Amino acid sequence: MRRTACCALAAAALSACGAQPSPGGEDAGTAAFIAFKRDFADFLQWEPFHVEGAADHGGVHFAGARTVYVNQRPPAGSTEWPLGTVLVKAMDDRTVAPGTGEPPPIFAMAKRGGGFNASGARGWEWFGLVMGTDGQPLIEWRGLGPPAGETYGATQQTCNGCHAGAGEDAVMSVKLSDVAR
Amino acid sequence: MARLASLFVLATLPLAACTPPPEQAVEGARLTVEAQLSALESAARALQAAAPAPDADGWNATSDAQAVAEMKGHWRELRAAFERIEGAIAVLFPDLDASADGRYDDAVLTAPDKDLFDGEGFTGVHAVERILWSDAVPAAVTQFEQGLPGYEPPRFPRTEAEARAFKEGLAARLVADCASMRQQFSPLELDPGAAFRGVIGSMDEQAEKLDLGATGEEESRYARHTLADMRANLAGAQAFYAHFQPWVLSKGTAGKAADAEVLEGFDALSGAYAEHAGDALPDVPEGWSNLAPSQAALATPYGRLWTAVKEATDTSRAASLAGALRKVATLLDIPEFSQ
Repeated sequence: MRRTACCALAAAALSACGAQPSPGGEDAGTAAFIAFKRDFADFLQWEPFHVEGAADHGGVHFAGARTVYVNQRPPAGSTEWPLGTVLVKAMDDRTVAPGTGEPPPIFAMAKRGGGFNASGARGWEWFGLVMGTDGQPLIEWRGLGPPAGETYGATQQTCNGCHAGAGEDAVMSVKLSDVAR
Repeated sequence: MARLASLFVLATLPLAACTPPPEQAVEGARLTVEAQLSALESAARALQAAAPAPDADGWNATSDAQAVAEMKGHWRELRAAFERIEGAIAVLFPDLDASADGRYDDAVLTAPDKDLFDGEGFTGVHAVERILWSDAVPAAVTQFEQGLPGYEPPRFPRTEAEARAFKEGLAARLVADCASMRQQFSPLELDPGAAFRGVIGSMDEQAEKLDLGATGEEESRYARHTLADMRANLAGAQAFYAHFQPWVLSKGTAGKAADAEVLEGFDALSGAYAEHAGDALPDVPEGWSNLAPSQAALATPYGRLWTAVKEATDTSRAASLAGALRKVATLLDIPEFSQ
């Protein structure tokens, strides 16, 4: 292959982008938003939704003040969060979780679509994040729930177990009806 | 098959020098996955097409020997393609990985599956394998599966309806799952961590497969193809690493040293696999224990293979292949896999 052709091919390949979020919360066909580390970068700069004095959810989400960071508001009147939405839930005190001696887990959910998680919180993919030494989040696990062996609260609760039946398109701390205006 | 093989070679060649090493690594890994997903889908379609047209008495390995042999050939192509990239894609497509590559024991834990041939319940490449090799299931596998809730013995389709369900249900579902993975992967722009997972994930796959071989739970348990799967895992890891090698070598002396350790590790593991002929894991010695194997057991072919794979994949040992790959991740500042 000649050098110019090679460069053109590489440039064309590198210009391909991940699936872009689409408006309207469509979750049909194979369109999917598959999040990578870059999609969580600087989440602390996203729009925050503060939750004061929240209860302990079985040791999964510890009791105490926490903030949900949302990468994009849904369009007005949306009945579902759009494809490409990412929400990150972090305790305000991210130093030590009660009784663990370790930083509290940071959880995230991304509206993936493409038929993902069809029998759970439809269209949502779950993530566990940890903060890297550079202050940016790393994906610790992802998928339909935490992997086997992953510490996930004191009970057998799963992400889908609580969120799937919660209404508001499975997002519990930030009401879709409040922000889609 | 020759065309698929040449596609793999093309896709695994590092991109030309006109691209900076980090971008070259990530894009090369992406192209490798894309090529194998295409091969995977092609093999799945060929397997479905080779399934005999439904007739009154279904089909089996005696009266439809040629068709069954053809399907088995496409199944092996499918396995080779999948195992080369599973380390990279399973984490991205956990639901499709479960339906395309799930195991019988996992599927029936959710609910019994009385219909072996439809596209629901236990599906995917191992559901197809369980039917194609239903007349040759190893005794240890039968013993293990008979203890599962709702166990349904494997068999060939016996009626026109079952043969139709195989072709239009189970085989069609496999095609759809493979096509969906390819379509969803195609527009993705990987990052270095996701791309390097192709190397790390492929190594992890090998360790798990060997341990399960001791209990009749091995992955390609009906076709006795698990060692071939592991060879494909290793080939995948090597192919992904080849895309990162120029980047590693650009890191000066430390890069050259890390690269030499990785290549030595790959050679050692390839050598261990080459000691064993065929696609099947060696027989597990009587009284084998993963936790405390005896010296006599470790001296058997299975024991030697187990030792080689354990040594290569032990992340706690800096001198292992897995340890060397983590050194590479540190060198390249890929924090997901750094030491």
